[in-house]
Amino acid sequence: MNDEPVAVPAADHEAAEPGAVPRAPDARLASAKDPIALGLRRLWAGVEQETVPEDFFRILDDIDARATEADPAANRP
Amino acid sequence: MTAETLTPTTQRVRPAGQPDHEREMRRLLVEIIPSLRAFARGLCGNRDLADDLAQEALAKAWAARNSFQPGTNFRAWIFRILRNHFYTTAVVQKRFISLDPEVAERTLTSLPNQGGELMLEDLQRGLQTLAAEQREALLLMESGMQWNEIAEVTGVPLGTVKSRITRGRAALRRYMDGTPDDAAPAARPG
Repeated sequence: MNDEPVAVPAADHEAAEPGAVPRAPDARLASAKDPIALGLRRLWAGVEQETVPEDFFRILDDIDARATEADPAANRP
Repeated sequence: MTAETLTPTTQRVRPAGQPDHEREMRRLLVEIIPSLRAFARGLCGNRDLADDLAQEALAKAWAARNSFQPGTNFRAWIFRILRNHFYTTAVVQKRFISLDPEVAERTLTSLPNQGGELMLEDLQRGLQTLAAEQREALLLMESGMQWNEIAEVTGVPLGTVKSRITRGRAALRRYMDGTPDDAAPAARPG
């Protein structure tokens, strides 16, 4: 099986990261026209646009606080 | 583009041990929370369980922050942490293969889309009928990831990624057309 990426026209990957492996033309075309692909993107974007619960922002501080309690020497100069 | 430039798919942090490393890592983690939630929601199909999963993945990533290799793909790194935790927890507790209660209720009272506009609720239900490895591949692709990034997250060859996407899309289309696939959801990719 040929797993190598297929080159795509510049317009299809103009926003891609330099050196990134582009999607094959058939996959991009299918995604662009496929209502299922569009629906999946809407599902994903809908979650991304939700307000992030405060729990997420507190969790890093909580972890750091616990780490400091467990190893007070870690914060000494 | 310099090594310090941040992009959605390839984000850099300074080497571990440098003064700004933790601050940058923290910022990257905060920035990626919405995407983590989206990936978890797609995997779990349940808002509360997905947020639990995303928070657990965030905690794991923060705890393992010094193991992240600067110059590698941050997004792929943390998505891999999340999906590995998902599968580990799903196998042990079998708690993630369930629908959101509201969605489950609608599942009992409605049929898949029958020729009308594609309903996102149907799509969410359909996703949960897919084998887990197909579901995650489809989600990652429609999140904007490239094939090689999906392969990095899931730990399988490019050809396998392509196959899973093709089969997953076909199965989802059959579901949306009202001809569900026989395959049951799988907790662990084969």
